[in-house]
Amino acid sequence: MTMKTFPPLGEISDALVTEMSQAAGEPEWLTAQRVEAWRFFASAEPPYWRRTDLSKFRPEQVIAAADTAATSVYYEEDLTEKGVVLVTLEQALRSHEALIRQHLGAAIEPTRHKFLALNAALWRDGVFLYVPKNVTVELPLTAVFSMPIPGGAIMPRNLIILDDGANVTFVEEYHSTAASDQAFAAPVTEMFLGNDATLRFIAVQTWGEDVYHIGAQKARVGRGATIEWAAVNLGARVQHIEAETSLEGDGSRVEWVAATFAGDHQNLLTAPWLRHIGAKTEAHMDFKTVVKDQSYTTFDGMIKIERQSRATVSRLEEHALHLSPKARSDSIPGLMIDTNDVARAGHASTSGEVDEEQLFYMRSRGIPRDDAIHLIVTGFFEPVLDRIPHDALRRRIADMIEAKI
Amino acid sequence: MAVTATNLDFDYTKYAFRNEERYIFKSEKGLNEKVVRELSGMKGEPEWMLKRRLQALEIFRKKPTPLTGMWANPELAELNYDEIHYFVRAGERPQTDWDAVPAEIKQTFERLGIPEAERKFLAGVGAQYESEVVYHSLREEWAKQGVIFLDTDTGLKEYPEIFKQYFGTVVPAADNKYAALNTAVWSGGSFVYVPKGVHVDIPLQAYFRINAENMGQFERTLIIVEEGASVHYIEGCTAPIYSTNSLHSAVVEIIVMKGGKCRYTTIQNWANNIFNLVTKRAIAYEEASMEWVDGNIGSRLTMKYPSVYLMGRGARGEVLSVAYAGKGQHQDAGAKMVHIAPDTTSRITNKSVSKNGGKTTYRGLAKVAPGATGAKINVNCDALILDEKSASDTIPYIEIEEDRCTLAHEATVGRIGEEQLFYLMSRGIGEADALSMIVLGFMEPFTRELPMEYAVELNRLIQLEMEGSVG
Repeated sequence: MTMKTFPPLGEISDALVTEMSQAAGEPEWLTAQRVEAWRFFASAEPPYWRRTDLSKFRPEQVIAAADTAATSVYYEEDLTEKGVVLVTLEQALRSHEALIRQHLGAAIEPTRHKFLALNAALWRDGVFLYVPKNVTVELPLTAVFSMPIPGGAIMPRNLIILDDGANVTFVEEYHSTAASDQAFAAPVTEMFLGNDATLRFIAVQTWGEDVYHIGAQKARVGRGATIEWAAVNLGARVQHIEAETSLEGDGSRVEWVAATFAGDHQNLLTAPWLRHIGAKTEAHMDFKTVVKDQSYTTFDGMIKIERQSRATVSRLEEHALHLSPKARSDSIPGLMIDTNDVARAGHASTSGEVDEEQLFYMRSRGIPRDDAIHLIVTGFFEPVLDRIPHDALRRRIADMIEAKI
Repeated sequence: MAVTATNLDFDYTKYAFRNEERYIFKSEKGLNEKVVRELSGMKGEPEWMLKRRLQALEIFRKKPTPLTGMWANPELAELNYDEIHYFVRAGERPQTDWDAVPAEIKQTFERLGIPEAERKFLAGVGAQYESEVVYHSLREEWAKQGVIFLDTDTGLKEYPEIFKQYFGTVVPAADNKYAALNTAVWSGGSFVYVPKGVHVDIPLQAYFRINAENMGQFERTLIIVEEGASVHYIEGCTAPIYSTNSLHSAVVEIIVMKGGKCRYTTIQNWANNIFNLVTKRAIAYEEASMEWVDGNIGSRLTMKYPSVYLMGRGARGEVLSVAYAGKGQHQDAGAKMVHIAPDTTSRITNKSVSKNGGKTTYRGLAKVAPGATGAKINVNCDALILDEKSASDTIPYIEIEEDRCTLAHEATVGRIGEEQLFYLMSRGIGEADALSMIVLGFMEPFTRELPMEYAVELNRLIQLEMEGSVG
């Protein structure tokens, strides 16, 4: 596969960023954004993340993709008739510039840290999804991101906009086979849900073991809108995902589930933030983690109930299952509550080995110990897998989990 | 049954008075090597202690104020280390003879009720007036049993071997900036040694006070509980109210040997301008039990996370704490449990109430190190927020490096239910009393673990804080 790339990071300048943006025919405001982000990237200190191991990450080896070869989109029904748009973000600049200008960077601030700035400066991959008012898309829409060359680097930028009353399922998948060179993915996904919109968002990370995945996702949810968010994290050497749901409109809701399974020497971190801003917002989070071998996972979560919110309901469940003595899991289920107008708020977290009683019960029914563990782990992840809309994808993930056990 | 409103005639002035400042030695404001040398010299300390102090001073200077990170707080930026007196001594030497205690200081104790408490049943009273213990007594039978209960300065003089063996082993000076500060300028605190198999069944008590404006208090407590021994140590703090920030930064080190038991009870009611930055840590060996019972009512900002390192098989740790934050207060309190040995168990129970713009934070660490198989940890945090101006954060760090263990963490946040309030008021209880009853009921799991006079005092303090909650 031929692929256009940037020079190594050390050889990029703001002049080059400008030049490449102009050569691609991008509008001036975008060129300015990219240059500003690049300057931040070039000058800012790297973030210090004590639970994400970047000690072996070599930024000088990062050669970023300069085309959209890593992005593929799939859909099964005719979208044009309904006015639904699912194209690469680059393409959409020609047809929906105003919408993009209004939303790009409006959920995730590029200067929060160096990696987000890098994405904002160099993104080429990524999709634009727009669903017009009151339009329902029955079948799931999918964007798949691959690693076109071994040891490559991609920085997809995804913009998902649902107008009022829109209803859609969007799957974001990161997948590659294993390679030995360091590969790097720094995707950013921004989601905007209009009033009464419904988004089922499925994020699947099944990179090969050579990949550093440092990404961010954020959904801003309007009045009466609902997001059902399911995340599956199985791949990569190091994963650092900062995810946020911001319940801004009154009566907005999130159902947020995640399954993480780490083995070997994987270091997978998920940092979900849940922000309650509107009145009568409701959230249920259920995060499941399995650790095996010498892997290390972190759940670094925060529920923030802002002062202006009213009658909030928020519940977080977070469970970690240990399959090996040398694996490690950290959990930080944080709460920051700035008002007493809370209907219900709380969290529960557990960590430990497979329940001996469950094992004993199954073995007393004639199921061998190893099979029983398989069943328990599969059952543990089931509520998350049930939300994956494609049979093929669900089977592939189930197989990957099986293989990991 | 008639329910009567609880009595609110609590005399707050008793806890917020100040005596005229009359000090024999008061160090210049600010901290430097000269202050540390002077302090150590006046105490007639051995050379090794002076060295430790000077090393710690270096560490204190080098470590930045923790404004960001896991155990940081941006409010610490308000501290001005140059505006603090690092050593004050009232009276010449620690006294064992009550008659020799200066009359003015006696009056202070009188108002705190120390002599009465002693008359009743207290065995030992270590009363800290300013930076050094001036009065100390110990019942004869305990002396016979070999129990040592002294102010820490005397402990260093009279038992240098025990002291040198344990001092700084649980909380090294480099642990954090404020532990380094304490190690550099510590003065006073209690030194407790309970020999093998001895059960001290009446609590040892110490009262601490701050008086001089802008004066730091840096007491250092060292408790050693030998094999199979047991002790309950109680520390209570009250302080007068001043207009500029003061700093209180204590270090407490506890070692509980095989099969030993220690309970450490604190009620902290510093004035609302005091920064209370305390490092409290215990090591529990095989089958030992360590309990921290910790109440935080006062101070501008408290940062305190009593810890237990469970180093021996079957060791047990517990932290039971409450925090109450009113106007301008931030109670950042929690617990740390570090499981290093197999079959160790721990429990953390935290209750917090915030009101009138106050903020409570639970910050804790539950850690299972590799090899601590069969460890069990249970964490429960409940926060009550009484009005919309107040806030509560929960930041539990959970680090599990072992598969054969179980951890359960549960937290809830809420406000007083309209239904509860309605029920009580329908029974003829005024709104203010009903609110106060609900808050006291919420804290009851903590209060019932306190000796009676402390429970009464705490309930009164809470009622006082709750005054004016309505309208």
